[in-house]
Amino acid sequence: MSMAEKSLISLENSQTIIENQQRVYDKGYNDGYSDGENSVLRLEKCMGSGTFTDLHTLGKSEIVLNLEKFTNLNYLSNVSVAGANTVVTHITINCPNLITSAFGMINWINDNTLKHVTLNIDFQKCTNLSGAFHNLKAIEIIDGYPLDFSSLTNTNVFNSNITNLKEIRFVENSLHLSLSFAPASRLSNASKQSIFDGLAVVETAQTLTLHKDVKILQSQVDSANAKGWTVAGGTVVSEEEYYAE
Amino acid sequence: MQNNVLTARDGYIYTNGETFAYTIRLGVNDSADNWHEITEEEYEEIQSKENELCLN
Repeated sequence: MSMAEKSLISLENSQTIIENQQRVYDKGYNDGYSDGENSVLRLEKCMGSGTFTDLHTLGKSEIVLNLEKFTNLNYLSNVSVAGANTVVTHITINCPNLITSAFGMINWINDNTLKHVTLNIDFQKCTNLSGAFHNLKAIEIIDGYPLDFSSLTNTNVFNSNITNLKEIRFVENSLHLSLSFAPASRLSNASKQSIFDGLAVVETAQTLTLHKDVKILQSQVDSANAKGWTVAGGTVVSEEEYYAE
Repeated sequence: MQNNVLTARDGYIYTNGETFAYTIRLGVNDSADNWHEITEEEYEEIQSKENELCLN
């Protein structure tokens, strides 16, 4: 092999190395950029109580609020979507305190994008959750700690916007006031069972309202009726049909 | 009415003044006297008014 041929091969190898380095760099850059665009925006708020206003999401699709000193969560309001083509799809709220009030809690994203709310919050002492989820037009999942409605003085918590709701969980025997899931036609079996298990024994008639097409079991109805609950709506089906989905 | 089940006639829906449904399965503390039928047109009208209130 001549010196010229060796030089040519060496040059080609160098170019290959440079190209590979560029590829690695580009991939790292793109991945990093993507991660930066999509990663979670974490916010800390060190106040005894109060509200958030004008939370700019800075291009993040998920928000995590760590509210270590909050004792009420009224109107965590006005999330501003700052990034182009950015939608907030998931919010997680972590709050270690026993919240006493959370009216209008997530009554603030009105853009049909928020599908998933994770609430790591104990609502056992909470008396007011009015309108807490009223503007969540795309909500599908409410998870985190099971919801404890045992201290609520009214259950105007959900409204006609929960048409897509699939997943929700309640603390057993914590529901003692009439509650409506009438718009929610897509509730999972686990969610339905959690709702029925959540019904406490009541002395005055209370009503659980379900979407007319939601499939339920006669045993669930019997259990609710025996605990003092009237079941409005829903369609009683056989176990085979119930578990078919 | 069969046992504790109320089923609305065609074109009607049951209400207790707070909630609405075509089929009502009464709890042990409830009574059919607490529920009455309204027409679906009346129901739509009530829903429209409630939606207007929510929007305002």
